[in-house]
Amino acid sequence: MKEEYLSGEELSELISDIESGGLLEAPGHMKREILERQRQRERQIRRKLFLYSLEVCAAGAAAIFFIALSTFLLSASPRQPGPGRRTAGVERQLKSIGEDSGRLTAGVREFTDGLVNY
Amino acid sequence: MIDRYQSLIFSLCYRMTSDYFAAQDLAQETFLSAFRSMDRFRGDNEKAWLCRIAANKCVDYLRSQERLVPTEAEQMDRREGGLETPSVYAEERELREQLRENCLRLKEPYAEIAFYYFCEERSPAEIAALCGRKLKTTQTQISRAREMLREVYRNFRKEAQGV
Repeated sequence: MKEEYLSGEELSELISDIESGGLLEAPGHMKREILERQRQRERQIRRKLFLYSLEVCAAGAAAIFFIALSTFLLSASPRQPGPGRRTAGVERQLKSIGEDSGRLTAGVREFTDGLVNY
Repeated sequence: MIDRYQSLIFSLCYRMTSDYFAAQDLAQETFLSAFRSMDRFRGDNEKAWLCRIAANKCVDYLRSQERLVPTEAEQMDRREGGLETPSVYAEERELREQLRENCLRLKEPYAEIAFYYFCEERSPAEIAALCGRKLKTTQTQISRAREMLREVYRNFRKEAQGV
Protein backbone atom coordinates (compact mmCIF):
# COMPACT_ATOMS: atom_id res chain seq x y z
CA MET A 1 0.00 0.00 0.00
CA LYS A 2 1.23 3.51 -0.60
CA GLU A 3 0.19 7.10 -0.36
CA GLU A 4 1.96 8.44 -3.42
CA TYR A 5 0.58 9.37 -6.78
CA LEU A 6 0.69 6.61 -9.38
CA SER A 7 3.64 6.62 -11.72
CA GLY A 8 3.09 6.85 -15.49
CA GLU A 9 3.60 3.13 -15.89
CA GLU A 10 1.27 2.20 -13.03
CA LEU A 11 -1.42 4.46 -14.43
CA SER A 12 -1.09 2.98 -17.93
CA GLU A 13 -1.35 -0.53 -16.49
CA LEU A 14 -4.40 0.43 -14.49
CA ILE A 15 -6.11 1.97 -17.52
CA SER A 16 -5.38 -1.12 -19.67
CA ASP A 17 -6.63 -3.37 -16.92
CA ILE A 18 -9.88 -1.44 -16.53
CA GLU A 19 -10.49 -1.25 -20.27
CA SER A 20 -9.79 -4.94 -20.85
CA GLY A 21 -11.98 -5.98 -17.92
CA GLY A 22 -14.93 -3.91 -19.05
CA LEU A 23 -16.09 -0.48 -17.96
CA LEU A 24 -18.70 0.24 -15.33
CA GLU A 25 -21.48 2.37 -16.74
CA ALA A 26 -21.42 5.86 -15.28
CA PRO A 27 -24.67 6.90 -13.56
CA GLY A 28 -27.04 8.68 -15.93
CA HIS A 29 -27.32 11.80 -13.79
CA MET A 30 -23.53 12.33 -13.65
CA LYS A 31 -23.26 14.15 -16.97
CA ARG A 32 -26.23 16.36 -16.11
CA GLU A 33 -24.67 17.30 -12.76
CA ILE A 34 -21.29 18.06 -14.31
CA LEU A 35 -22.86 20.39 -16.88
CA GLU A 36 -25.01 22.07 -14.23
CA ARG A 37 -22.00 22.70 -11.98
CA GLN A 38 -20.03 24.04 -14.92
CA ARG A 39 -22.88 26.41 -15.80
CA GLN A 40 -23.07 27.61 -12.18
CA ARG A 41 -19.34 28.25 -12.15
CA GLU A 42 -19.53 30.27 -15.37
CA ARG A 43 -22.48 32.28 -14.00
CA GLN A 44 -20.49 33.06 -10.86
CA ILE A 45 -17.48 34.24 -12.87
CA ARG A 46 -19.68 36.48 -15.03
CA ARG A 47 -21.35 37.92 -11.93
CA LYS A 48 -18.01 38.66 -10.26
CA LEU A 49 -16.77 40.38 -13.40
CA PHE A 50 -19.93 42.48 -13.65
CA LEU A 51 -19.76 43.52 -10.00
CA TYR A 52 -16.07 44.35 -10.30
CA SER A 53 -16.83 46.53 -13.34
CA LEU A 54 -19.57 48.29 -11.33
CA GLU A 55 -17.09 48.91 -8.51
CA VAL A 56 -14.52 50.41 -10.88
CA CYS A 57 -17.13 52.59 -12.60
CA ALA A 58 -18.51 53.81 -9.27
CA ALA A 59 -15.03 54.64 -7.99
CA GLY A 60 -14.21 56.45 -11.25
CA ALA A 61 -17.45 58.41 -11.18
CA ALA A 62 -16.91 59.35 -7.53
CA ALA A 63 -13.35 60.49 -8.27
CA ILE A 64 -14.46 62.67 -11.21
CA PHE A 65 -17.28 64.15 -9.14
CA PHE A 66 -15.04 65.06 -6.24
CA ILE A 67 -12.36 66.51 -8.48
CA ALA A 68 -15.00 68.67 -10.16
CA LEU A 69 -16.44 69.65 -6.79
CA SER A 70 -13.09 70.58 -5.29
CA THR A 71 -12.20 72.57 -8.43
CA PHE A 72 -15.49 74.43 -8.10
CA LEU A 73 -14.93 75.12 -4.41
CA LEU A 74 -11.40 76.35 -5.03
CA SER A 75 -12.51 78.69 -7.78
CA ALA A 76 -15.44 79.91 -5.67
CA SER A 77 -13.26 80.65 -2.59
CA PRO A 78 -12.55 84.35 -1.85
CA ARG A 79 -9.16 85.71 -3.11
CA GLN A 80 -6.32 85.99 -0.60
CA PRO A 81 -3.56 88.65 -0.59
CA GLY A 82 -0.77 86.07 -1.16
CA PRO A 83 -0.51 83.85 -4.27
CA GLY A 84 -1.58 80.16 -3.88
CA ARG A 85 -3.03 80.56 -0.42
CA ARG A 86 -6.28 78.86 0.42
CA THR A 87 -8.70 79.75 3.16
CA ALA A 88 -8.88 77.50 6.17
CA GLY A 89 -12.53 76.92 5.30
CA VAL A 90 -11.72 75.54 1.86
CA GLU A 91 -9.04 73.30 3.38
CA ARG A 92 -11.59 71.89 5.80
CA GLN A 93 -14.04 71.34 2.97
CA LEU A 94 -11.46 69.55 0.86
CA LYS A 95 -10.50 67.33 3.79
CA SER A 96 -14.15 66.53 4.43
CA ILE A 97 -14.65 65.72 0.71
CA GLY A 98 -11.67 63.38 0.83
CA GLU A 99 -13.09 61.57 3.86
CA ASP A 100 -16.54 61.29 2.29
CA SER A 101 -14.98 59.94 -0.89
CA GLY A 102 -13.15 57.29 1.12
CA ARG A 103 -16.35 56.31 2.94
CA LEU A 104 -18.29 56.11 -0.32
CA THR A 105 -15.67 53.90 -1.96
CA ALA A 106 -15.58 51.62 1.10
CA GLY A 107 -19.36 51.42 1.04
CA VAL A 108 -19.43 50.49 -2.63
CA ARG A 109 -16.81 47.82 -2.03
CA GLU A 110 -18.77 46.39 0.93
CA PHE A 111 -21.94 46.30 -1.15
CA THR A 112 -20.34 44.53 -4.10
CA ASP A 113 -18.54 42.08 -1.78
CA GLY A 114 -21.89 41.33 -0.21
CA LEU A 115 -23.43 40.64 -3.61
CA VAL A 116 -20.53 38.41 -4.65
CA ASN A 117 -20.76 36.38 -1.44
CA TYR A 118 -24.58 36.12 -1.62
CA MET B 1 -15.58 14.64 -23.85
CA ILE B 2 -17.93 13.60 -21.07
CA ASP B 3 -19.77 11.10 -23.27
CA ARG B 4 -16.51 9.61 -24.47
CA TYR B 5 -14.76 9.18 -21.15
CA GLN B 6 -17.29 9.23 -18.33
CA SER B 7 -17.48 5.46 -17.99
CA LEU B 8 -13.70 5.08 -18.02
CA ILE B 9 -13.17 7.83 -15.45
CA PHE B 10 -15.95 6.51 -13.25
CA SER B 11 -14.57 2.97 -13.47
CA LEU B 12 -11.09 4.20 -12.60
CA CYS B 13 -12.35 6.18 -9.60
CA TYR B 14 -14.42 3.24 -8.39
CA ARG B 15 -11.48 0.88 -8.78
CA MET B 16 -9.28 3.13 -6.68
CA THR B 17 -11.78 4.08 -3.98
CA SER B 18 -14.26 1.16 -3.92
CA ASP B 19 -16.86 3.75 -2.95
CA TYR B 20 -19.76 4.31 -5.37
CA PHE B 21 -20.56 7.89 -4.34
CA ALA B 22 -16.96 8.94 -3.86
CA ALA B 23 -16.27 7.61 -7.36
CA GLN B 24 -19.11 9.76 -8.75
CA ASP B 25 -17.89 12.88 -6.94
CA LEU B 26 -14.30 12.35 -8.02
CA ALA B 27 -15.32 11.70 -11.62
CA GLN B 28 -17.31 14.96 -11.61
CA GLU B 29 -14.38 16.86 -10.09
CA THR B 30 -12.12 15.38 -12.77
CA PHE B 31 -14.22 16.76 -15.63
CA LEU B 32 -14.64 20.13 -13.94
CA SER B 33 -10.87 20.41 -13.44
CA ALA B 34 -10.35 19.39 -17.05
CA PHE B 35 -12.73 22.13 -18.27
CA ARG B 36 -10.84 24.68 -16.15
CA SER B 37 -7.46 23.64 -17.56
CA MET B 38 -8.54 22.85 -21.11
CA ASP B 39 -6.80 25.83 -22.68
CA ARG B 40 -3.53 24.84 -20.98
CA PHE B 41 -3.64 21.26 -22.30
CA ARG B 42 -1.19 20.93 -25.17
CA GLY B 43 -0.78 17.15 -25.30
CA ASP B 44 -2.28 14.76 -27.80
CA ASN B 45 -3.50 12.10 -25.38
CA GLU B 46 -6.69 13.41 -23.85
CA LYS B 47 -7.54 10.06 -22.27
CA ALA B 48 -4.25 9.75 -20.39
CA TRP B 49 -4.52 13.37 -19.24
CA LEU B 50 -8.02 12.86 -17.85
CA CYS B 51 -7.04 9.60 -16.18
CA ARG B 52 -4.04 11.31 -14.59
CA ILE B 53 -6.31 14.01 -13.13
CA ALA B 54 -8.74 11.35 -11.88
CA ALA B 55 -6.03 9.17 -10.35
CA ASN B 56 -4.44 12.10 -8.53
CA LYS B 57 -7.80 13.20 -7.17
CA CYS B 58 -8.45 9.65 -5.96
CA VAL B 59 -5.10 9.57 -4.15
CA ASP B 60 -5.84 12.94 -2.53
CA TYR B 61 -9.25 11.66 -1.48
CA LEU B 62 -7.82 8.45 -0.02
CA ARG B 63 -5.22 10.45 1.89
CA SER B 64 -7.94 12.67 3.31
CA GLN B 65 -9.81 9.56 4.40
CA GLU B 66 -6.54 8.17 5.77
CA ARG B 67 -6.76 5.22 3.47
CA LEU B 68 -3.98 3.76 1.40
CA VAL B 69 -3.91 3.23 -2.33
CA PRO B 70 -3.60 -0.43 -3.30
CA THR B 71 -0.71 -0.82 -5.69
CA GLU B 72 -1.21 -2.52 -9.02
CA ALA B 73 1.07 -5.32 -7.82
CA GLU B 74 -1.17 -6.02 -4.85
CA GLN B 75 -4.20 -6.10 -7.10
CA MET B 76 -2.39 -8.53 -9.40
CA ASP B 77 -1.51 -10.71 -6.38
CA ARG B 78 -5.17 -10.85 -5.43
CA ARG B 79 -6.06 -11.99 -8.92
CA GLU B 80 -3.28 -14.54 -9.16
CA GLY B 81 -4.12 -15.85 -5.70
CA GLY B 82 -6.91 -17.84 -7.29
CA LEU B 83 -9.74 -15.54 -6.30
CA GLU B 84 -11.85 -15.18 -9.37
CA THR B 85 -12.78 -11.57 -9.86
CA PRO B 86 -16.39 -11.13 -10.88
CA SER B 87 -17.07 -9.97 -14.40
CA VAL B 88 -17.77 -6.30 -14.74
CA TYR B 89 -21.40 -7.04 -15.60
CA ALA B 90 -21.91 -8.96 -12.40
CA GLU B 91 -20.12 -6.22 -10.49
CA GLU B 92 -22.34 -3.59 -12.04
CA ARG B 93 -25.46 -5.60 -11.32
CA GLU B 94 -24.39 -6.00 -7.71
CA LEU B 95 -23.64 -2.28 -7.44
CA ARG B 96 -27.06 -1.35 -8.76
CA GLU B 97 -28.79 -3.85 -6.49
CA GLN B 98 -26.89 -2.54 -3.49
CA LEU B 99 -27.75 1.03 -4.46
CA ARG B 100 -31.41 0.14 -4.80
CA GLU B 101 -31.49 -1.49 -1.36
CA ASN B 102 -29.69 1.42 0.27
CA CYS B 103 -32.02 3.94 -1.34
CA LEU B 104 -35.11 2.12 -0.12
CA ARG B 105 -33.68 1.90 3.39
CA LEU B 106 -33.63 5.66 3.80
CA LYS B 107 -36.44 7.35 5.67
CA GLU B 108 -39.22 9.00 3.70
CA PRO B 109 -39.41 11.15 1.68
CA TYR B 110 -35.74 10.56 0.88
CA ALA B 111 -36.21 6.89 0.02
CA GLU B 112 -38.63 7.72 -2.76
CA ILE B 113 -36.54 10.65 -4.05
CA ALA B 114 -33.32 8.62 -3.92
CA PHE B 115 -34.90 5.69 -5.74
CA TYR B 116 -36.21 7.88 -8.55
CA TYR B 117 -32.98 9.87 -8.91
CA PHE B 118 -30.21 7.32 -8.36
CA CYS B 119 -31.87 4.09 -9.48
CA GLU B 120 -34.29 5.19 -12.17
CA GLU B 121 -32.08 8.17 -13.13
CA ARG B 122 -34.95 10.59 -13.53
CA SER B 123 -34.28 14.31 -13.67
CA PRO B 124 -35.18 16.58 -10.71
CA ALA B 125 -37.93 18.19 -12.80
CA GLU B 126 -39.50 14.79 -13.52
CA ILE B 127 -39.32 13.78 -9.87
CA ALA B 128 -40.85 17.07 -8.77
CA ALA B 129 -43.75 16.53 -11.19
CA LEU B 130 -44.17 12.89 -10.09
CA CYS B 131 -44.17 13.66 -6.38
CA GLY B 132 -46.11 16.90 -6.67
CA ARG B 133 -43.38 19.01 -5.07
CA LYS B 134 -41.55 22.19 -6.02
CA LEU B 135 -38.36 21.80 -8.03
CA LYS B 136 -36.22 23.57 -5.40
CA THR B 137 -37.57 21.32 -2.65
CA THR B 138 -36.85 18.23 -4.75
CA GLN B 139 -33.30 19.39 -5.47
CA THR B 140 -32.67 19.98 -1.76
CA GLN B 141 -34.05 16.54 -0.94
CA ILE B 142 -31.84 14.95 -3.60
CA SER B 143 -28.78 16.60 -1.98
CA ARG B 144 -29.80 15.36 1.44
CA ALA B 145 -30.48 11.87 0.13
CA ARG B 146 -27.05 11.86 -1.49
CA GLU B 147 -25.41 12.82 1.81
CA MET B 148 -27.29 10.07 3.63
CA LEU B 149 -26.27 7.49 1.04
CA ARG B 150 -22.67 8.65 1.21
CA GLU B 151 -22.72 8.05 4.93
CA VAL B 152 -24.26 4.60 4.42
CA TYR B 153 -21.52 3.63 1.96
CA ARG B 154 -18.82 5.07 4.22
CA ASN B 155 -20.05 3.03 7.19
CA PHE B 156 -20.38 -0.03 5.02
CA ARG B 157 -16.79 0.35 3.89
CA LYS B 158 -15.54 0.86 7.45
CA GLU B 159 -17.33 -2.30 8.55
CA ALA B 160 -15.82 -4.21 5.64
CA GLN B 161 -12.35 -2.98 6.63
CA GLY B 162 -12.96 -3.88 10.22
CA VAL B 163 -12.59 -0.30 11.47
